[in-house]
Amino acid sequence: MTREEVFEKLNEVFRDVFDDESITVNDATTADDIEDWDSLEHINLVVAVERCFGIKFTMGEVTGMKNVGQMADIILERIK
Amino acid sequence: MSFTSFYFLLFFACLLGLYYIVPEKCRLPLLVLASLAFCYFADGIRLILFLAVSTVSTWIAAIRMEETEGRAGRNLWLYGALLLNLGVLSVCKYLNFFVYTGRILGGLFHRDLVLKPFSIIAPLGISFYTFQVLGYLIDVSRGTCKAQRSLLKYAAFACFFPQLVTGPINRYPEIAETLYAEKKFDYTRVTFGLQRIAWGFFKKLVISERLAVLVNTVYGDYHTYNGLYILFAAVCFTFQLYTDFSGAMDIALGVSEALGVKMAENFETPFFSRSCSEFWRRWHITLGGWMRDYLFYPLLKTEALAKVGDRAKKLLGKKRGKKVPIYLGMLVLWFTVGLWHGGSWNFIVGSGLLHFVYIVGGQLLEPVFKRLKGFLKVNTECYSWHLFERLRTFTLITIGWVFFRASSFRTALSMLKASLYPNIWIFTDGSLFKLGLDAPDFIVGVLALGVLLKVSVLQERLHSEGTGVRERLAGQNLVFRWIMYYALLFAIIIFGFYGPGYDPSEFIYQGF
Repeated sequence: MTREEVFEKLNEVFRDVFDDESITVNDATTADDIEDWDSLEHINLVVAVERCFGIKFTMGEVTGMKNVGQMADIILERIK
Repeated sequence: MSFTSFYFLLFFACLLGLYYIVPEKCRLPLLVLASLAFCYFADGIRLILFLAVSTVSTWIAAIRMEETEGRAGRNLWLYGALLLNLGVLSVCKYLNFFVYTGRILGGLFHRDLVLKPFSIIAPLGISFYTFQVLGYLIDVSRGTCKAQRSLLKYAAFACFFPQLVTGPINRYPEIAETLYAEKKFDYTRVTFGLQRIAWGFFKKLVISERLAVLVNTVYGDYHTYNGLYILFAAVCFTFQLYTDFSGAMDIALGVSEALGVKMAENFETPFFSRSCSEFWRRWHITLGGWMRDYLFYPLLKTEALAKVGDRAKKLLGKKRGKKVPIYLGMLVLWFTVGLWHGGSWNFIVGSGLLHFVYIVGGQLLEPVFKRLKGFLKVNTECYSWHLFERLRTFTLITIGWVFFRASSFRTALSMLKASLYPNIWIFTDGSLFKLGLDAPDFIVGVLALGVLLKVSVLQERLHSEGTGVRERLAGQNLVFRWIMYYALLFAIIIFGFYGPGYDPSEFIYQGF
């Protein structure tokens, strides 16, 4: 899967979790850019991403991700 | 050796002097030795033994986790150390909880279970240091920090005496920065530390101990008192608990600061909170953070709760359904927070489940409140509304602390029931002066609470500006500054509850 394909899937997950069809994420997207993205929604989002890609994030990764780019990096590494 | 004893002050004065005299390489060993001495004088050799088991087991397990190849092997070390430490904690603190709960359950099914309580006294601060070392262990397993290879350095973290008996529950990556850093004598840092210790003494000896007299009178003989006596004692206990716990934190953080070590803050003017969830982000912050990061989030990430969420979404719709696993996680979280405080139902309800009801109830009823506020045309963006929200939060928290302070769950219920009697005249006929404090002592208590309120308002304002009261005071003229320092010192000496013939009670959270 290419990085672009990962972002396409991530867009779908973000739109579904935050119930907002206008969301488009990129490498630099952070919680500050999406209104409802608080710590609880972050966990919901992580669970949804895990299920979408069939992977598992460690709790260290969950709390350490700084932006969507880092999330995509981990996904690409896991699905190799 | 309590923080407020003369021997502790002597111990700290000697340590502080020695700490900055000895060469840099001797400071960490000195800190470990001082911590062991503190343990010995606080709770005897048994605290040292318990602490040694906890420290050595987590130190070895963390290193072995890093060295072991494969997830199964790493998990074996992680869960082995978790089991050992939580096992010791459970035996020391919760064995009798199972006995009493077994008896209650037996009674419900008309079975007379022959279960005798065990006479085990838990070592001081076991819940604090156990959670701290387990946090470190989990951090190493998650890869958020490296295992500490030096036993001396690790022991300095696990046994650091200011945090031992009342917390805060420090995170290894945060405290390690200053704990292991080179330290030079810094006049400002040491004097700031001493000022904070003095403020902690003021809270404990002038306010908390004074309020304890009123609280103990009413709670100790609750059959005699009813109505507003109980409500008055409940409010007094809320302030007593705050000044006792945050006073202990001020002393612990002040001692630590004077030694050049930055520990985590545990309070952030909690009575300015406008909701219960905000209150718990500002009260006992390190426990809340621990529970969130090591229990609540991992729980929400489990497959079981994800499946519950799927089913709930189908049944209740997407928006409501996704809240269900969060609420289930919160139920476990609050039960554990209550249980952490003690193995009895008054703690589980008063410091745990009741707050779950407040927070979840508030969220579920939010649309109703919103409509009601719209219907009544309530302005929610003004001081009076914010004040109402703060008073509402204070009232709800105070009800929770009735369970916390009462000798049992049943006692708390009967006290709350008896509090409904409107004997308002006790505030005018001098009845309150018969609760153990005479009029002058009462006035001192009220004035001291006034000082606390003034400082808290200042802290709240300065916090948003990124500074603090001590920094602001340091910027004042010399005369004014020293008048303030002496006023605080003499207030403690003149109005504090201490000295021969009076034994200041231990800090409330020291028992946890």
